[in-house]
Formats: sequence, structure tokens, C-alpha cells
Amino acid sequence: MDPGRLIPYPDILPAPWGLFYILLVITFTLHLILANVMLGGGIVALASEWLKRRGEKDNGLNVHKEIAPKLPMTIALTVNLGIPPLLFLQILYGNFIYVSTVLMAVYWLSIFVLIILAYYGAYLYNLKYDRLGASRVWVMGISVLMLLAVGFFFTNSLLIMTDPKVWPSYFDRPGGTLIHFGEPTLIPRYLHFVISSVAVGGLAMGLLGWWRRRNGDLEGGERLSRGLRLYAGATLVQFLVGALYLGTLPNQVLARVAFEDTVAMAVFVISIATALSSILYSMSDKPWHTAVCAVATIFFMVLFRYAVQNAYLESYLSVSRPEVVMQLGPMGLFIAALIAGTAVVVYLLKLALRPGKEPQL
Amino acid sequence: MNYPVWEITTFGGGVLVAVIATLHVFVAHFAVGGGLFLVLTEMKAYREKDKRILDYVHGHTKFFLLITMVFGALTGFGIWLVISILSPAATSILIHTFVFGWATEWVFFVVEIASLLIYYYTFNRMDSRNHVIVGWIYFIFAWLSLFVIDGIVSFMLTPGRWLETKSFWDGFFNPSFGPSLFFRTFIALSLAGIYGLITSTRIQDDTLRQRMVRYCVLWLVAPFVLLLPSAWWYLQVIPPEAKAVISDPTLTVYSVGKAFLVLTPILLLAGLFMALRMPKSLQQGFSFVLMVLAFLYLGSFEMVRESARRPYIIHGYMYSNSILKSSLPEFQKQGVLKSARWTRNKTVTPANQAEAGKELFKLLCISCHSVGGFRNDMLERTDGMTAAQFEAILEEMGDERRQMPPFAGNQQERQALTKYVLEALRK
Repeated sequence: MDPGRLIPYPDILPAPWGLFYILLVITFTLHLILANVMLGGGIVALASEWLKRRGEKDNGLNVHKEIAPKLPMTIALTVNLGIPPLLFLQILYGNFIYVSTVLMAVYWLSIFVLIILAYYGAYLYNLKYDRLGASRVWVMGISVLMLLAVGFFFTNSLLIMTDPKVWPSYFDRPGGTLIHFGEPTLIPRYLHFVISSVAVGGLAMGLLGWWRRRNGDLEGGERLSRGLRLYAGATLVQFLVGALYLGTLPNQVLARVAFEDTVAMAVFVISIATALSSILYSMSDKPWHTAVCAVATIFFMVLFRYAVQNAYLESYLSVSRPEVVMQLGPMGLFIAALIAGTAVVVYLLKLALRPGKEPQL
Repeated sequence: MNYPVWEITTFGGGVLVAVIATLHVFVAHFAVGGGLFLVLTEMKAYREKDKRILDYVHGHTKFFLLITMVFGALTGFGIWLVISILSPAATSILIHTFVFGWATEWVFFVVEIASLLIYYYTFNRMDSRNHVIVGWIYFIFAWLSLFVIDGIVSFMLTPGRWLETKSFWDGFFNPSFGPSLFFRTFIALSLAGIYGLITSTRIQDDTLRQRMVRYCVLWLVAPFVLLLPSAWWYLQVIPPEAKAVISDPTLTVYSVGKAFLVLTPILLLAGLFMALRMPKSLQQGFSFVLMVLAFLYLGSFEMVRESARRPYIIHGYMYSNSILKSSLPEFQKQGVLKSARWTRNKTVTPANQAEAGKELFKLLCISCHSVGGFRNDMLERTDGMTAAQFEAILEEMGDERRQMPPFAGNQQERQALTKYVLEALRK
């Protein structure tokens, strides 16, 4: 069966494709950074708990207590920042992503349940930290496992979405249980996300160490170094996983992004340069330089990722470009809300960071 | 007919959406009304210079945060996930028509999260005036979120002039937008009182507990003064066909509607009963009974609203099985199988009748009927039926059976579906 025949008609776009594409790239980058901090933070906390449980020396790796109150907040922000990229993805690629999610409906639907469990696990870990005692490692372990599963399901859905060749399998398995193991990129692509999380988790730990050291905490320096070393190590591993990922891409996709699309290739080269710079900075204990380069790397990797996605879908997208009927008023409403909302959040942060004062009764 | 259909049997017939949506709205409305409850109760503590009330608000904020920000937010996300797999075509319309509405709502949600986290984590660490400002910011943005969501949800029942203009504003400010917004605002305030009872009945100090319980009862009961007129107004603006569906005694929705009416005085009386002086354990137990009553109350409202849309998913535009009203004549002429993308069989032949029947069942019936499940069970509904009786039902759909869309197939497809439902489906 010709998979092209199965691609649904796209719905009308209320603004140009390019605008949504920019919004998608920006919001997905922000979401990805937070998702990395969230999963990486959970993994670092789990590792720290594990090492402590095995009786190894504290040596500044006892960071799980510090991560505990921050993890629920990070989950809240990650979930929140996950909404716009999913929204813009559905706007631009709705006729692909909806099909993909129906084909893996059972797992897709489980995502919100898994996040609820991980979220409550993180709260339990924080609010009952002392009472949980030895059980803490299990609570954090389950939360991390749930988040890993969520990441895997998202990877799977985005892969099915970009590969209409697998869609006809629906006729043999209409129960929504498709995991696209037939595509060799599935595992490297997923590992790329997980290793990236470990790296960013390390970076976040390094930044926390920097903050502590700045406030006169002697342990801060040790944490900074350990965090940045974790970042450097994971990012080096990431080069191997990334190479594996590229190596498993279908030939025509690889040829398209490597030889035909010069912009995509340039973006890729820049991302490699920023990644290498971040490793060098991290080895010199410069957390903010590392962070800036890491964020730039993620941004350029996201751009490259969408170039790969478009290369996958090239022949299908060209026949299903949606019509555009501008909605200027509603777009103005969104821009106004965004400006006002940002101003209010800045005001709230200012209030929160003012020196503490008892309530007046 | 643009998308594949998830083959789901026991949990089909909309039961997944119903469960997730009811759980979500029960918490999401609390997230709005409860915000006002927090800030006004905090102000009450300052006004009365009562540290104990302030401590109560602090504890209630933690409860509020854990319920609304985790369960409320994630079940909202869950609704998005479930509708996108059960009704991708309708979801796509909602997303593409209202993308800037959704994006605006997301901005409001960001402010909600920021203000609630700051409100909770700075409790007793920020001066009173600023803390109250943070509380008000939370409530205002939570209500603005309701404002936006209300425009999109009410659109599905009364798209109004959007049907002709396809304009965002016509769809958003649709005929039931106002009454729905008022109704939901007042129910949110009432729910704040009910959730407040869960925490206030746990206060150890007997005098303070009685005071706070009565305060929460006031929150529960007072909004009904405006909630009931809003419900009446709501009923006035829904389309005549929708009114006919909910007042048809042969349909389940009629009983649900009656349950909603009966629950109104029960909830009010049960609330007033809470104001009586009672032992702590009894108050605690009864607060959970009230919670269940309120859940059933809101659940029955949502079910009536959802059912009133039948046979549409977007009233007057798209049927529950995702067929556009405007495409129906074409479908009936050339057949569903040929018109749908995700079918293996494009015409019915003697050789493929059973397989084609199954595909037709998935395309036309599965969105509202489960198989051996909890909602509109097809096996139960067609038990002992003859082919002639089943075909008569197909004939009546969209007419005498107004809650069902007209049968969209041709004569061969009608026979294939009949044969499948009465034979193969039961094997």
C-alpha cells in the first residue's frame, strides 16, 4: 500500500508556516532544556542516593537533598513548556502526528498517567525526605523510570510521525500498540536524549555548586567541579551516540541533510563546535561559559533535528502543504498576552526575591 | 474520515474521555475558585489578626498545590492526549481554529504556575501586602484561563456564526460562551467551599474548626444564588435540536439531566447540614460525602452538555464519527469505504463482506459504542435483533434517532455493517 495515500488533508493555518516554525523551534528548545534538567536532575539524585546507600564517601556528591525541593518545580515548568511545542507541532504537522499517536494510542495515553506518578513521586521524595529513609531510592527510582518511559514514548511517536512507510502496519495492528523497532534510529535517538539529560543534569549540578560557592559554601566548589566533569563526560559519550544516530539514518535522509541542504550542514557543524567549546569550558570549571555553549548546542541541534524531520517527510510534505488564512486579531491577542504575561512573571519574581519579611498580623 | 480509528472495545464509546474529563473539570474548577478562596481567606486572617487562620491557609495552599498543579494540570493534558487519538479530526479543527487562543491560555497558565509556586514557597516569608498581591495575580490568571477554555469548549456545542464565517471571534464568543462562563465561575466558587471543607474539618481547635467550616459552607452555598440563573440562561441559548436530545425520556442523558436537577437541592441541604455543630470525625466523614455529591453534580452537568451535542462533535459541522455534515451526501452516494482514507476495502463484495463490515463498524460506530464495555454497548443494544430491525435503526438514525448521525454509507455497506454487527461481532 502506498503510504502517501494515507496522509490526511492538513487543516487551514491561521498564520504563515514560517512563523509557527520559529515558535516551534524556540519553544521546543526551551522545553528540551528543562526536560533535560528534569530527567538529568532525577538521574543525578538517584545516582547520589545509590552511592550513599552503598556507603561510598560523601565527597560532595550528596546532592540528592539539594535536588529534592527543585525537582517538582522543574517537572511543573517542563510540563508547562511542553505545551507550546506540542501545539505548534500539531499546527504544522497535525496530519502526521495525529496518525502517529493513534497508531501508538495505548502508550500515548499512558503518558499523562506516567507523568502524574513521577510528579507525585518527586513531591513525596521532597516532602517526606527524612521519613522515607532507605525507601527514598525506590521513590526516586520509580519517578526516573516513569520519566524515561515518557521520553521513550515521545521519541517513538515522533519517529512514527516522520516515517509514513510504517503506517500501513495499522491494518494488522489497529489496537494502538506500535513501537517502531523496525527503524534502527529509534534506540540511538532515544539514547541521545537520555545522555543529553545526564549532561545537562551535571551542568545544573555545577551551576548549583557555583551558586553555593558564591554564597560562601565551601562544598560548592567541589560540586561545581563534579557537575561539570559529569557534563564533559556525558557530552563526550554523546558524540558516540550522535554518530550512531547519524549512521542509522536512512541513506536518502542523510544524503539530503549532509550534502544537499547546506544550511542544515552548517547548523550541524556549528552545533559540533559549540558542543566542543562547552566541553573545554567545563573542563576549565567555567560553568556559565559551559551553560551558554550547551544552550547554543541544544538550539542548533533542534534546528538540525527539524531539518532531518523535513528530509524524512520531504516528498509527503510537498503534496500536503496547508492553505493559510490569516488570523491577525487573535495573533495580536497572543502577542499582547505574551508581553503582559512576561511582565507579570518578572514582577512576581521581583517580589519573590525581595528580602523575606514576616507577615503583618 | 481522514484519520485511522483506534480499535478499542471495552473502554470504547467515549468512556475514556468521560472519565478523564470529569476528573479534570472537578479539579480545574477548584483551581479557579480555590484561588479566590486562598487570597480572601488570607485577607480574612489579616483583618481578624488571627494567626491560626493564616496557618490554615498555608496548609490549604499545600493541599491546593498538590491537587491542582499536579493532578489538575496533568489531567488537562490527558484530555488533549485522549481526544487527539479518539477524535483527531475534531481536535485538529479545534487546534487550527483556536491556536492563538490555546497559546494565550498557555501564557496565562505560565503566570498561574509562577504565582502559585511563589505564593506557596513565600508563605510567612513575604510581607502581607505583597503576598496578597501574588494571591490575586494567581486568581485573576486562573480565571482568565477559564475564560479562554470556556470559549473553545462552548464553541463545540454552539459554534454560532462560525459555521458561516469560520472566524475565530465568532467561534469564541459563541451563543453559549456567556452563560457557560458564568455557570462555571459560580460552580468554581462553590467547589472552593467543598474542597475547603476537606481541610477545615481537620483543624484541631474546636472553635476555630466550627468557624472555618461555616465559612466554607458559605462559599459552597452562596454562589448558588447566581449559579441557578446561569444554568437557566445556559438552557435558553442551546440549539433546539440539543434541547430535544436532552429532554428525550428514551435517552440516558434525560436521566442524567434529572439527576443533575435532583442533586442541586441535595448538595445545598447537605452543605447547610455541615454548618451544624458536629464532632470532628463526623464532619470529616461528611466532607468527603459532599465531595462525592459535588463530583456527581459536576459530572452530570458535563455529561448533559456533552450529550446535548449529539449527534455532533462540533454542532452542525462535524458528526461524532468525524464525518463533516457537508460531506454526508457525497459519502452516502459513493460509500464510506471509498471516501475514507484508512480503509483496506474500498467497496463491498461478497468475498470481503465481513472484513468490510468491520471497517465500517470502526469508522461509523466505535466513537460512541463500546463492545462489551461500559458505555452504549453494541452487543447489549443489538442483542436478539434481526437484520430487518437493525437496518430499520440505520434508517431512523439522524431522524427519529436524533442523537445518532445519519447512516453515511450506501446500500451494500448497510448490509455489510448489519451482517458484521449481528454475526461476526458476537463471535
